[in-house]
Amino acid sequence: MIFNPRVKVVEKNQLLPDMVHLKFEGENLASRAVPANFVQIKVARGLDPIFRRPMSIHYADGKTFEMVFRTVGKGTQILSKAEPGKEFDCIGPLGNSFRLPENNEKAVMVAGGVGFPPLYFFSRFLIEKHNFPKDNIIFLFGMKTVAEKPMAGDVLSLGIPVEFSTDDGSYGFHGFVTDLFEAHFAKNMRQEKIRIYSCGPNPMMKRLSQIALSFKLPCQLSLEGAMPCGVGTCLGCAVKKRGENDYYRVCQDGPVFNAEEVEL
Amino acid sequence: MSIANLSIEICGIKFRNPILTASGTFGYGEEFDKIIDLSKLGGIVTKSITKHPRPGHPPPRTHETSAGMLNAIGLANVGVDRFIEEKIPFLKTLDTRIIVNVAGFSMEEYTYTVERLNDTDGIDMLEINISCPNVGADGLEFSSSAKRAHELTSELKKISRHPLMIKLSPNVTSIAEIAKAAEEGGADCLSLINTLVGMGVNHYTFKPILTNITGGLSGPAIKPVALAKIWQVYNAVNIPLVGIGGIMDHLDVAEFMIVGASLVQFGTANFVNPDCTVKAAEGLVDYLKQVDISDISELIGKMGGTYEIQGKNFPACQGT
Repeated sequence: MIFNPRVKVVEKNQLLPDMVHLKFEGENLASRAVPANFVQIKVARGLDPIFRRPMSIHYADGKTFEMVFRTVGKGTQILSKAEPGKEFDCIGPLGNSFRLPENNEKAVMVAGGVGFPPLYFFSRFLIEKHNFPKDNIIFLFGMKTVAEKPMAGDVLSLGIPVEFSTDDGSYGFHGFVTDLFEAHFAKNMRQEKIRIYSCGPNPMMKRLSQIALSFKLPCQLSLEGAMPCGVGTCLGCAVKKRGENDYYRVCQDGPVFNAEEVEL
Repeated sequence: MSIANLSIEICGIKFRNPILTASGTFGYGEEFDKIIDLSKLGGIVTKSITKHPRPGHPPPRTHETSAGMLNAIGLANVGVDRFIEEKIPFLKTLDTRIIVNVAGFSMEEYTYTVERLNDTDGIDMLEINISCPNVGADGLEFSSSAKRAHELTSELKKISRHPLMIKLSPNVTSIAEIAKAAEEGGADCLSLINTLVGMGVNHYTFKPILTNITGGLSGPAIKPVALAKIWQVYNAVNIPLVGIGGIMDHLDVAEFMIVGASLVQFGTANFVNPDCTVKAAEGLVDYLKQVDISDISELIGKMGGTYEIQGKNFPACQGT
């Protein structure tokens, strides 16, 4: 079921100079949202910009849903200026979700920057809805630099093991989060059954896919794409099917794909 | 006044209202079935169907522009065989008109697909996308010359058991000439306009934005172009026209009809507001009341008349 309510901003937090957390009231939409779902939000009433913006759901509790985004263009600039009380036309929840880990598996979240929201939602979902032991989740969080650490507040509050990497070495592991995963995996996880979940920039998820496939580890990726429609008809958000001369639609067939299904 | 009549009949087919969905913006209807009541539409035009399945172009395939978008999807579709097997059964269940859009890269490809669709129930009309290069012959688009458009239309007319709607390209010197050629070739009606050729480039990477380099511009940005082309063609041919190009709401529908369209297609608007078509059908009822028209067909080609209503204040048009 897809809903098209007007949703109202009820809370706003400026996590970083260019990163905002918004909480919306939108009952029917929020009550059906599951991790990796997204919404298509119309940020301008007129035609500039004309299209809705696909936004990953950071958390939904039945009455409200949240999003965290970086201001990267016209749409997110407008959205970042929204204050409590402001209403938007919104469609959702859209997209599929992650596959649950088996009881004997560890869930390894590999987040690249502002790609963390679906993984935060999923971690919290596993803990709250599935009584998944907190120690069986490991959250690897890749950032550019230590100054970005405030974005990890919600993740840190989950009480699960969190490890950071920074590109410049200013905090945690020095290197990419995929390097951290490799180091971690090499050190700690060889003997354990793990399932990887990831969301972040495509080059990061491409590298992670290579690692996962080479070690035959189950790995799911939550992808993004240019999505004029978000409901499967414009075919804009195409992602290559691995080994086939064909494409998936990120919005309708995903956004979650198994690493072996797609070619990034 | 009772509720105005919204139905329109063209080519012997009655449409509940003048609102259709444009090819490539509505899939095969399934996706939107979850969002809107498809029986509120005049009809659905499917995504282009070709002889063979096509994966489409590598991404990026779309690019948002001022009040519009560029697309170069590359006619991605399941091919006519799978279309008949997998998509027609669903389309047949719908209480609305079904128009199948057909594309091809040679005369043979078009005729193959049209003949395959002859044996298929549940289709009311075919829309022929002639804006494809004829790779089997000179590589020119069928839409770009009157001679090619005439040849293609008359060949398909010979074999099709369905009425033919020929979809015209605006990327030509004289769209009226192509329109006349299609009419002479036996077209039952014409739809226009297809997208305008456009492109985008990244000023930092110096790379084209679309993998295909050029794409088709659509959306409200092209509406004035579409209105002008429809008006030109309306004055050149005697067959019904189906207006396309940046239609967003019921007032746009009215404007397209006033310059000569009998039906319209909503394209890019479906991406912006999935319920735009249903809302427009509702909006037309109020609009017709405002302008004291009891039958929507009265709007067709109304422009240029001395139409005034005493003592009524109309809201200012956009831009005035």
